[in-house]
Amino acid sequence: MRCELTRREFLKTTGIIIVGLTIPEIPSFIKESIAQEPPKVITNFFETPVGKARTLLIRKRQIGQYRDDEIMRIKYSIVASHQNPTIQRFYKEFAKHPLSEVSEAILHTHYKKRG
Amino acid sequence: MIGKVERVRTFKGGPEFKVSEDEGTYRAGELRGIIKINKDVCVGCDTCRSVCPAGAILGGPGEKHSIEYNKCVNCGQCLLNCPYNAIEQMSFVDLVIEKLKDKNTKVVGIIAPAVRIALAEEFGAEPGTITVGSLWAALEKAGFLIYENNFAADQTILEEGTELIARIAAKAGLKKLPVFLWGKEFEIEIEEFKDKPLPQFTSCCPAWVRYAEIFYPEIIPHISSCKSPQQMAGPTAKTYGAKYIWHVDPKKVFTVGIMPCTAKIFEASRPEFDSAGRFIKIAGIRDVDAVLTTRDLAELFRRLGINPLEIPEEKTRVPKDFKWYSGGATIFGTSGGVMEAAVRFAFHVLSGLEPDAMSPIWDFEPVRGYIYPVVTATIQVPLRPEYKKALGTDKLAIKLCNVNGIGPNGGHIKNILEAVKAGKSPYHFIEVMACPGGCLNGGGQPKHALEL
Repeated sequence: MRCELTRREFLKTTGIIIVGLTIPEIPSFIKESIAQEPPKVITNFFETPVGKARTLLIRKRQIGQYRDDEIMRIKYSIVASHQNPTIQRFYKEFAKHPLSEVSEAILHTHYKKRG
Repeated sequence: MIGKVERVRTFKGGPEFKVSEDEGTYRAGELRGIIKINKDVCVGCDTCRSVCPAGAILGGPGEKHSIEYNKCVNCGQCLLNCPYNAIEQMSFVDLVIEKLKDKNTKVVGIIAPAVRIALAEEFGAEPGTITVGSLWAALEKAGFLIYENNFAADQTILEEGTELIARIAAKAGLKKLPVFLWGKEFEIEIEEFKDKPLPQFTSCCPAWVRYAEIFYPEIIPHISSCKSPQQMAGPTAKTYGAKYIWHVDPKKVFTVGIMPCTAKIFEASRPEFDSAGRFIKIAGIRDVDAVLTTRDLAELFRRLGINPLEIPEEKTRVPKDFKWYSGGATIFGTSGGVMEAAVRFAFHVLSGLEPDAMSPIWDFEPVRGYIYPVVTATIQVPLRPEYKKALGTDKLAIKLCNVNGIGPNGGHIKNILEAVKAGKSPYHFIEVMACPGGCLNGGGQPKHALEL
């Protein structure tokens, strides 16, 4: 019978073993193969094990998000921001127009170098 | 594979987590340590380190991990992806419940776009299930007034879209920008915009903003001066909202961001975000008083015995006041959405055209991030006669780039930022979301068991 360890169990076991063992000298042929093939760093999240595991969840939520766009367009004919009736009211009664003095005071900010 | 929804451990937030003076990458008053690795649970599996955009996780395989807070951008990807559920989040649920019980306080719930397509998972529904009307009703039952963060997303687009046009026009030599909106013409002075460089970066994502401030301060002038929707919502609620919509004393308004995001908890604590108080000249009031994650909101509902899925969605979805929002606003929750919403608005302003809401002209598909690390597109926008004359061209080719997650240790974004630093970036507008997929995969969203 094949012994199957999940990644979780494997890590738990190895975690314990690492504490108790000194690592033996690595044979030269293994050293060479390591030198030839440096571990591949995946820079694209979606190609990592975590990214692959999450793809379906991300996709399902994306479908929900675009479905909500469709609802606003079908039911209320509001596709773009300036068509929002309360936006029109907010600018008429209060902020006047984008990049106005009121906008600058409450809707804009600045950033700061850290460290 | 993604498994069932897990409960994330939380610890109670409070002023004791605020740094008292500027220290490392924190400024006085900011919250430090929003995400914490529980050493008793961590097995050193290294998953958190593999997803961290900022290289902020200490400890290698087999070692207990910890977070280097001076590098941490609070995105919460480590927490969301920990296979052992060993990472904890600072929570303000107790404080918000206390405020809801106080008859003298008007608690305003600011609901982010990505909350509505994920909250239902906490109550057993499929990912992507939409709760809008039922979420409003559930929040009202709990005692909240509603301020759709999607309304604030529309505010963001009006400001950020106009800012983008102003930067492009100023670069073309214009000193004044006529803007045609709602059948009227506004003239905006844009001389100051000649010093604001292109490309313009989005500023909605607080983890991205902190990332830029720590690792790429040179590009700060490129970041839109617009606050994020949450930070527009707070002061608008306490100024315009208090006076024109709710007719209440602004001192009694307590604003709560309800976010798919842990970095929003940090953002609300940035010292400059007391603009409502400065505007109405009342000292000591904050723009956003507390932030709950999607998970925190589910916990709040459970404690109050409310299940939003038991409330019918259709008949409760009746927009009014701050519940109005556009299709463009709601896609802020997904990578490419901020950009598409901005392009929809800019397309209307620049061309003067306004096709039917269902027209595919409004679907700027090529900028959607889906599951690509970086997407780029050029959009040809026909110009209205006034701009044709002013800019000396019939069409404007707007070059766009969408960075779908900063990527493992900056993997998606490094080349883009290096090109901007070198003055060689070809784009007009770049969207960045720290989390891959956008806010819908944010660090505050329901956590599913992860089997790797």
